[in-house]
Amino acid sequence: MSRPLLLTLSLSLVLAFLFWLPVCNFALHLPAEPEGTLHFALTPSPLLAQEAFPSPTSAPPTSEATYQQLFSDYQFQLNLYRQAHDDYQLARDRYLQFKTLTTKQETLESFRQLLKARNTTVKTYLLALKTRLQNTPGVTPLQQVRYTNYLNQQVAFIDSIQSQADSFATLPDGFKISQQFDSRYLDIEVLSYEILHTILMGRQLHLKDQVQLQINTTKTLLSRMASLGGDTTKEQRWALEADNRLLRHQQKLSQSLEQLALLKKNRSNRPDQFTAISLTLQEANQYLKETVSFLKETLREVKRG
Amino acid sequence: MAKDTTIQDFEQLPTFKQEEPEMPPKRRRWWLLLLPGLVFALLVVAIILKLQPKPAPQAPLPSPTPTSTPTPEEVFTSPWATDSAVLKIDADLVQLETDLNQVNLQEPNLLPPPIQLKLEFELP
Repeated sequence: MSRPLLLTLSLSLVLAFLFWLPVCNFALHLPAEPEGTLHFALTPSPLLAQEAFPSPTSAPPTSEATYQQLFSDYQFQLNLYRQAHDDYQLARDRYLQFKTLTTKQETLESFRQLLKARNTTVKTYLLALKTRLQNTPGVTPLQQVRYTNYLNQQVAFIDSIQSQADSFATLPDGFKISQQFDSRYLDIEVLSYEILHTILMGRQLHLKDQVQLQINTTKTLLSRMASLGGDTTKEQRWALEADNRLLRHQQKLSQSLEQLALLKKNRSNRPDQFTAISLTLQEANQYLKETVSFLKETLREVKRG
Repeated sequence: MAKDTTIQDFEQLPTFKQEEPEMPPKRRRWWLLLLPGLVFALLVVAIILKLQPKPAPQAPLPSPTPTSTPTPEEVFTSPWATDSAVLKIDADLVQLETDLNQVNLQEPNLLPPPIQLKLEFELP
């Protein structure tokens, strides 16, 4: 064997040994485990490996992360639906123009794809909405159960429609399935707006509860000061003013409920109607801000003495 | 009696040579010595001025940044100012104010999807 070759070989052997050493060391210091637990080492799977050696930084997926994942799925499906809709329109126009069997078959296939994309889009939307509802503080458990049941019913309906959409053989059959979806979608739309309102209102009610708690705590504090001989007439009046702001807040919440009732009745331009509801809830939030501002002033006066 | 009949010859007019006053030789010598000396002196002065260290170019002074005069923190004299209950309410209110400013009351991305209904058409 030539000398350079021998040198290279010995060098690579030394390097291999240096790399191998930590591995051996790690293997020797593995904690004793029952048989069958080291299978992951032979067939490495990222998921199993992650379970065996959980990274200290990896946290369990939060419900917010679940929502974000579902929301991304929904956005992706919505894009697919738009594409499928364009394809269907193109195929339909070609069929109406040429009236051939080929174009008819193409229309049938594109219609099937469109129904599938539509169903999947609405389903992923409803799942995202459900997760959002379940993550929102301020939504009562009763509301959560009620709306989750409604959403599950709608998802089950979409699944059943989907199984039909996979198997229809003629365009008229497909149209019938589509009409079933259309009539149901009106309910789905109303339900979605109702749940969205519940989510936004839940956030407001959650904050309102916290503000109410602070009002009560401040009032208790003022009573304690008065019982110790302090003059808190002015501060108590200010706390009352803060309390009155909450009444305005409540009025705005009631107004938003009335707007929602109108939205359910009136089908035209629902997104705009919901924007108006959202603005009313923002006004309600403004009253909460004023309440907190009043409380801060009251507290400053207490500290001044 | 013979008359002086001199005819003026216009072609050969006498030229009048203006005589410049001649510099006396002694003075001229002085000038000849002084002039190179002056030139040399000017050169020396120019070199000296050139070699003089230039004053460092003055960096433009930054315009003073307007600083807001911090409002003096209010000094609370009441014994209640340090009460734990008061301080807790104060901290809770600050947190609450932040929450109120950050709350999302729109959710425009979660409006129902713009789905096209009535897909059927009259078959030929």
